[in-house]
Amino acid sequence: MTPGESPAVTGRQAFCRLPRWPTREEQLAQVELTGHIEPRIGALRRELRRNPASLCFAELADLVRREGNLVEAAALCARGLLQHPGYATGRVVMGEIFRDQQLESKAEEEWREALRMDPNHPRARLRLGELYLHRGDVPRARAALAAALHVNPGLAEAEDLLATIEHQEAESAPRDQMLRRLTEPSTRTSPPVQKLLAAVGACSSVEGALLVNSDGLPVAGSLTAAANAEAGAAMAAQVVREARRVIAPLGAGRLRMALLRGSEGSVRCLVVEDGTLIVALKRDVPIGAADAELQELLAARRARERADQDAA
Amino acid sequence: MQLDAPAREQTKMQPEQSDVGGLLDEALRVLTATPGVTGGLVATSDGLPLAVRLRPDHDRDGLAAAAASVGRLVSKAIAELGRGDFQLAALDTDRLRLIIAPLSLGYLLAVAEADANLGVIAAELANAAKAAERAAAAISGDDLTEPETELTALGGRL
Repeated sequence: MTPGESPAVTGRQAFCRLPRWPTREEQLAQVELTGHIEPRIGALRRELRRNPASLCFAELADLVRREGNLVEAAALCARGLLQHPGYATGRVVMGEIFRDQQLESKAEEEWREALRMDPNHPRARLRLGELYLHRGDVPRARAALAAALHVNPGLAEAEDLLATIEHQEAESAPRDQMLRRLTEPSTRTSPPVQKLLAAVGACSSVEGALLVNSDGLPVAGSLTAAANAEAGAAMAAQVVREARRVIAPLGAGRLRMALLRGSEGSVRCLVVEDGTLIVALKRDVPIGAADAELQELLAARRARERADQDAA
Repeated sequence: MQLDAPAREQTKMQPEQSDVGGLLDEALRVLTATPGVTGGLVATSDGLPLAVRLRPDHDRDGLAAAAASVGRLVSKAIAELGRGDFQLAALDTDRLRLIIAPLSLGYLLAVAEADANLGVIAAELANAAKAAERAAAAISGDDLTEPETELTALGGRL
């Protein structure tokens, strides 16, 4: 390492460095940037005096927190939550106050409670995502941030954090390892799935096939020449996970497969035991023909498995 | 009672909006007459049901939310995979087949039997999408001679 060069940081270390909690100086700098909040604080204080049962306590506590007065913010929020214990946003703000006080586990408790009250609360999911990232738990962080974005696609903080994760991952994974993963069957997949992957890839109607594991990471195979094919496959697997999540309460049964059709081609997503198999279909092949080929392959595989079981 | 400007506009728009509801409902009526299709709905991009034609045992709010949340992700996935613009997504479960198509105002969803013919449904979905786009044009006041959807030729390709 030459003088002045930063020490190499990889893997978990890199992620732990990402979203450290704001320092006191940073909090004060934020107040300078948001100098317009003082009049708003005044208005909210008047509103709370006029109507002590108002839900505006959460916004007021949040602004007071941003000004750096954590003790008053905590008091305001705690008093409000006594009257409105089921107000999810109040819980989120309380968690943020705890976070700024470096009380991480209490912050987590509040955010989890907020999600229990409102499972779609984007800010609660965002804060939990930040927390997981802070702890180096990247898969959970990614899931929480993706969920926050899913509920609120305009949530810039979640987008930025996800982009940072992807950037760090790309930097920390050696390029040759990445290429090997794309071209060779991974040892992380079971032999039957490796065989399936090879068989699907050899179908005449298939352009490429890639297996995405349950964490949403592509682990074996190769898909298409598209620049973002791997990210696209991960997103297609996310479609399957989301579809399973939303379909389950509708009593529609188990999701078997999905078809994603674009103006320039289609992708089949097959649910397999090791994750989701993303299959890019050749552009000039009708879906029906491709499906028939894939179904034949899967049926033969099932028959072989049954025969193996019988033999055993 | 004195109405502010937006409220007055809203009041004035009410008859037009009911026409829009009629257009969407007619689109769904034709769609649900397709063999194998048991229901359909139009959802906003936020997942709220705009027009619904479902069996009583189907959860309209749940299906509308599902159409929007899956539709949003599909749109991104297809773009990332270099497959052009989102045209259609079909989710096959043990019991039924859900087919989602994008609209300028949200998503169109068809609920079908598990073994229903996807090609036939896709063609009818394209027609329903056209009708829904005409309704959307009525809301926005646009004169859309051609619908924005690219579903037109889809049925033939499936």
